[in-house]
Amino acid sequence: MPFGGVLLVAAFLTYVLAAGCCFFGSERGRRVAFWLAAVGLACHTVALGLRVLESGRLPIANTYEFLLCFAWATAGSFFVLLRRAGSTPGGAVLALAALFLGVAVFILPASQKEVFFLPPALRSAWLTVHVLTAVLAYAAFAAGAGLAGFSLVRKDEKASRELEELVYRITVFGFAMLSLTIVFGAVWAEQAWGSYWSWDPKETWSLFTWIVYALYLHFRRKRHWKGRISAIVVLLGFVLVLFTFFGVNYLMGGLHSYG
Amino acid sequence: MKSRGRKKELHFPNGALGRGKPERVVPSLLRLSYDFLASLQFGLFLVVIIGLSAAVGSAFQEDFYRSSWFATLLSALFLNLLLCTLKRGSTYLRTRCFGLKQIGVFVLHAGLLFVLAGGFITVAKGERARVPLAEGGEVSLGRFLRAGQDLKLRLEDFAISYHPDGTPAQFTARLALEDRSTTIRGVAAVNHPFYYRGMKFYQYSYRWRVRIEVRSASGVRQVEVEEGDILPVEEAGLHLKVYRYLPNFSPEWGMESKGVRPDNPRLLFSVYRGEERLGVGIAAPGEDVALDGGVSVVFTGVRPVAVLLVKTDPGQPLVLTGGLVFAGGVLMILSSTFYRRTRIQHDEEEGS
Repeated sequence: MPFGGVLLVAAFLTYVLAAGCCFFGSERGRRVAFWLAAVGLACHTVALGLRVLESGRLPIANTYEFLLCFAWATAGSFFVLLRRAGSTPGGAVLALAALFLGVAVFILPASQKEVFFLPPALRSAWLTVHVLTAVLAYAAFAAGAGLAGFSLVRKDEKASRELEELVYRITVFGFAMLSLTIVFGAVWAEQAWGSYWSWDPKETWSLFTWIVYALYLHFRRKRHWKGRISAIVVLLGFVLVLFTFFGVNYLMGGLHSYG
Repeated sequence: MKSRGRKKELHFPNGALGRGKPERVVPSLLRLSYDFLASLQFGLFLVVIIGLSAAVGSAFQEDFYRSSWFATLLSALFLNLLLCTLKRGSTYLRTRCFGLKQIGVFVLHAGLLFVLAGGFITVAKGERARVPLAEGGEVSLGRFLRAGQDLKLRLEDFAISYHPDGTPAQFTARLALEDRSTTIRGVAAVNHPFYYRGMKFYQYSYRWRVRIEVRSASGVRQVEVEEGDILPVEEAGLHLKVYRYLPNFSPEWGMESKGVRPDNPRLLFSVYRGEERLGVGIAAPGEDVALDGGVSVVFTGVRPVAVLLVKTDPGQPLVLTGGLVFAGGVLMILSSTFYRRTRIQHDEEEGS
């Protein structure tokens, strides 16, 4: 296994351990979790850096590379949210980061992991902005889903309300990023394929995901959806995000077959 | 004040524009339908129906997005969004509520309206056609698009550049357009369309035309066929089915080419007498394939056929503007959320 692969396995293991420590609840457990997650993120970052050196470009061009970045940003969001969410709910976010990294490292076929040159359609400056905003959107939705899932199982009402407010803000951020992803993608599609919208499965499903989050934002603003319902909608939105990513890539194909 | 006074003089009968007191207690049908069409609930309902039908409809009907049912839904959404946005804008004006967030929300929805309006124009007025053109070939664009009247398009050259591992890096079509007496030259490559007179030319895809020489006692004839075509060889009373050109043949890859770069080109073919298939063969360039009666065929090379997508899209500037306006609105809302948060945090810190 190449050195980058070893680092990724190390990052996966430390994320899993850190998530486990988060749920212990003791002060010591939390501190260990923080440092484990930090070591994991450092390994993950170095592995991404090695891939950049090897391929001479950002790792954003296939399912494997996207998953690496997605898991990296999700793990990073643990540190961003630590002060507001606390490390125990943050453990759910770390667990999701570990899951995505695990899928990339252990489940995807070896052919996905080979370094490759960009095909003509992907050789565009739009690739960078389109995929980076998608990474941020997906990571925000993952973090929101992790916290929402945690708030569903938690008994403490007041803490759950605070968490709900945080989930709302994260979702606003994710929604903004998804909106930009779709706009940049449309501008790029017009340059590459001559049509800004082709109702390709990826486009349709990301629009559908966007609509579900738009509903969440509208209904929450009007105070119709609160507490458990809003947490469930955030989780449902994330299930759609995952389907748009995995389901469309592996079941439907289309223009977006690379990831 | 002055303008309000003037408005009073006009005496709107029942306040249909939403100003002044309605005279009747029972709301008019107009008012009711306006309230319904401009409601958030109706808009969200439409959005859900559009989303669901887009996801489900596309699975069952290929042309679903061009159906009148879908167009009706989108038109209704446009109307709802227009009324909602106007209503919200007028509320902001009345209450003098001009925060970054409010402006952002207004701008975002206005952007969506532009996108939808542009989309309608694209569908109504836009033209698009796929134009296959062999290298060196010429075609009248008027055959494909109204906007192409009096224009002749020639493919001067089609080239593929490769990465070091042999995978394609770029497909480039060098074009010449004859507009009456002037000739304009341009290049269309993937991600780099060529513009002329409101038209856009895209390098969309390509295929190969196979060159074959038929040699017999009566002489030599050159033919050019597309992959999948059947070539009658009357000289031998046979048919040649030209299956496929493989630029990089490799036994492990079978009937698939190992890549696009012509490292080991071969032609895959089969020979028929009537309905009966006599055999399948694979020929290298220049290789003499002997058939019956002293007739032989030779695969001499290939000629690329570029498939160009040519389009006019009068709705595009509106869609593009709408997309940018929408993205601007999104960023305004986002920055207002962050600004408010940091201000609250700052206040909290100062307070403590």
